[in-house]
Amino acid sequence: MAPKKIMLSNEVELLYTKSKTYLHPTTSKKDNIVGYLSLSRGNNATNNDILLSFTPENSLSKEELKIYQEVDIDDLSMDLAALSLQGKSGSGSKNNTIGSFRVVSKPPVSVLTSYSFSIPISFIYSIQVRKPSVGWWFGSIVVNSRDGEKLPIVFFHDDESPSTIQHQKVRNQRFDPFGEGGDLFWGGSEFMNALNKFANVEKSRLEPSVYLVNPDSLDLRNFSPYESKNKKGTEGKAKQEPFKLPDVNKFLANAKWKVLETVATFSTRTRNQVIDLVEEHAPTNIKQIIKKPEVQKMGEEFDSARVYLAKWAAQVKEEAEESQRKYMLDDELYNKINKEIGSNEILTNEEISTASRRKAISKVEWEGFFDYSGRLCITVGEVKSRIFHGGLEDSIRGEAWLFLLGIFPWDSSKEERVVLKESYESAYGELKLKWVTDEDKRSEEFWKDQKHRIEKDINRTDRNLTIFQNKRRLSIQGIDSKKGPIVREETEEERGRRSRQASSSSETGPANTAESRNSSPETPDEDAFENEEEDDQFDVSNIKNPHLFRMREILLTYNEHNVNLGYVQGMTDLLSPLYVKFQDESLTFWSFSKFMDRMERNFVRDQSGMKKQMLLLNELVQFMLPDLFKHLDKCESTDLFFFFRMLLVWFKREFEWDDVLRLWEILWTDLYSSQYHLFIALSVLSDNERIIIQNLRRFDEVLKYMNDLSMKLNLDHLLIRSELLFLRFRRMIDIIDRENSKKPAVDGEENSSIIKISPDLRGLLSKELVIQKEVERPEGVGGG
Amino acid sequence: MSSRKKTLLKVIILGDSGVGKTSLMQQFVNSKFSHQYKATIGADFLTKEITIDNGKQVTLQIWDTAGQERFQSLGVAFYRGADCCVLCYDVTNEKSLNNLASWKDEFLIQSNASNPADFPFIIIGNKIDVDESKKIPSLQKKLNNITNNQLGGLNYPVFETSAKDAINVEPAFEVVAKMALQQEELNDAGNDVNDDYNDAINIHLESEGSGCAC
Repeated sequence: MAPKKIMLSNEVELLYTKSKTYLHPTTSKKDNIVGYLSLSRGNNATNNDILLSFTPENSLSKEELKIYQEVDIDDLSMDLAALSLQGKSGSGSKNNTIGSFRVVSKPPVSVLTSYSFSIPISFIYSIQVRKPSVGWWFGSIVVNSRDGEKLPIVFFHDDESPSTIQHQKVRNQRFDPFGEGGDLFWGGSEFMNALNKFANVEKSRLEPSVYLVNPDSLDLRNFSPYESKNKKGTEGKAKQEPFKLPDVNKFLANAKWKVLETVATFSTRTRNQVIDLVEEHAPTNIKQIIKKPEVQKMGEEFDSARVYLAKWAAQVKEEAEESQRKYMLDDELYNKINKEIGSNEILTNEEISTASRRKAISKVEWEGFFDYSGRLCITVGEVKSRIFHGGLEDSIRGEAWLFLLGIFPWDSSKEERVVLKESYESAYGELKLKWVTDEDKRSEEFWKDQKHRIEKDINRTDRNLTIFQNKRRLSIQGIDSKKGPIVREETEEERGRRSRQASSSSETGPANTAESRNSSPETPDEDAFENEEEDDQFDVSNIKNPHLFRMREILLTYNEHNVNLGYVQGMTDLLSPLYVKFQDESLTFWSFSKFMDRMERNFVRDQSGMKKQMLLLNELVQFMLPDLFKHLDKCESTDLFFFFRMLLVWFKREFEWDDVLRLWEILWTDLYSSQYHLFIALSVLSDNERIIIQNLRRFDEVLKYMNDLSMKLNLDHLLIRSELLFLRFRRMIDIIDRENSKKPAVDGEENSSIIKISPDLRGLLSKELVIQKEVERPEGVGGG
Repeated sequence: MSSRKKTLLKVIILGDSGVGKTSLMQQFVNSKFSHQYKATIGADFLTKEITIDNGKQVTLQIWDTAGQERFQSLGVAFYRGADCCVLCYDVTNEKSLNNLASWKDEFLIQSNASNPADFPFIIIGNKIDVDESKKIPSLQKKLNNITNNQLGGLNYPVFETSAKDAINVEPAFEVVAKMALQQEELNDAGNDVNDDYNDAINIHLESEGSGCAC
């Protein structure tokens, strides 16, 4: 690689040029101005500072002209390489090969006499792209700046541009009529591809020829008022398995549970349509079965199997019944609310469109949020809203989660983060060293118990992921979110390095000293791990997989760090996604520790935190889904016990791996509420409201049905639904407050017609974390 | 006794975390085993129909629970109305054996059983497929101490099983079904037929014999 020349402040590095682009200042051909359309980067400039310029050929010196020409062609060879890689973006390799020959003087901002112009990417609002029509007109682009200025139209004379001609030739040779993207190839599309490597370019759904450059959410909404929500749904539906009917004889012979299970299976597949489906599609014999006295009798028989509510459940129920009148609004008020905001239309279109889902944040878009010093240059609210509505692409989770979890402050600079990270490393090292070097502690009965609990659970957490399997040669990198980590053969060098570092993680920073990563006495020999066959499930301390081992170290350290809480079942589920993303022992530890700040209330010994959340959810269901609540009451299910697992580990067991990551990063934003997970739970109920009301009648039926929704939930649907539910909730509180304020106090006493909203319910509007710490462990009590 | 053809019997499986409760239930109901069962959170149940000796068909509703103690305070909803309780331990984990008594006590307190002294329990020692060297030393003696202790001992049928290799799981649950059915019928019949209960105990002891022959 050619040594890089030091760039002066009036110089830029050419990233991309397109030759033979023209301005057509008049209708006369002879007035056409030929020049280069380019993207260039100045010293220390971020992607947002990259300049999009038009530079007339006649304003360039001979030397510079040559450079522009070379870059024009050079891009081509780069793109050829990329083409042969089947559509892989070549941006990575391009940056590496930028040598000194690409440095030219900075294009002038705007010189009227020469018709040149130049604008930083951050100033571009949109680009209209007009395709060419062969023989009729040239393709062109129009750049609109953020302050509403329209820059001169740039025409692509593709038949003169050496790079475009050659590129076309190659494309023709490789033309595959069945290949993807039968789109016309021309200079403008090539340019837009190049731009896309440095900026987030989104096609407007309103006007397909307009591309928005680094749009914020408001722009997107204006240009795409309604995301094609149905698209996903119909796609999914098309792939749905054919509606399978159960074997009729078996159906009859089996007990009601089987009937129920069958109904539950197809009802989740077809969501709320089960009843319609049975009505419309089921052969008459099925319809008859459902109405058959025998089947009905089966139901009655099982009613005699007593279902009792527990002490706690009874207590919840009691409180619920007591509060029922308080939280459940009467019909009159619902009518009032509905009238006020239009019948059945409690939310505005604006609100509804806000709740649509956007695509995940890409690396390019994420990097655009930060300035040259690595400081956030948009507001935290904007970032969070963006994450909330789209989530993150897997490649940036490792970075973005550190902000979401509070490891790095949002307003920190890159430099500050490097320092912070080092202090996290050494702080963890110290914490860990405490128990590693304390042999007395490690021989205590309580310690051994906790260690056993941790090891037992580590051995059975997410073992389907390749990274946590034995018998494989694992690479430290290479995680594919969909399929879990990819297995890659390690190079000799990597393996050597990994073995030398024993239990320390390899990819992170300079502070990997032996001291900061002191391993506990059972550190496995990682070379041996590679040859291991299978876990010895009766010797759980003998953890051979290095990743599982590091998770163990983290939990043992946490057990000491938060000594009152210690380790409780379920924590491995919370830890494993963090570990897989960071794969760094100390960063994972601190992230986990931050995550646990808000999750601690789920694990306290007396379970009061869980009880409280389930009571609050009960209140919320009464308030938002009164019909369903009444039905659940009939089913003796108002304790909502079926939400226990979902709430305890934030739906970790209900969604596929990638969806869990998406959901968690959304919940971590606390965009609307720090307890938004309760609205996710509410949306699950709301989504199944009709099925539950029409099919389920008993406590165990409801529990079974809800438990079996696991891995059948559609996250995107639920996210939209939960957001709408939240907005509706907020609006209802608003309206009630307004109603109340109109009622004057009578004789200093509160007006009895005032509708009270409990502080807990109102608390759902708060973004403040609810923190509940465990109390000290009483003498003689174990960790169970 | 009850004239109904089908009866739903509710069975609760309890025991320390990791002794194999989920595996036992899965092996019995679905005849499958996996190394990848996760720690149970909350509670769930599976149902299976079986025919007992006398030709009577029953449906077992088997409840699998979380082993971590603190989660039991929320799980007790399912103790109520139980017809039989399975106490599990791991033959390689002495602590899980010693905890059987407290699992039993916990159950009796929470389930509010009408006749706690006579409530049917059964003990399952799981994981007998493991190497002899890993098992609790002098297990039989320790087990006898626990079951034969005159003062509040766990004098219940004992089965040693392997959920992994499907050893003795079915026989154990057949006994569970018989015991649960008797309990159910007893409850149905009300308090005036308490005399019948002695027979029930005799049957239990017989089945214990066959269970331990393994």
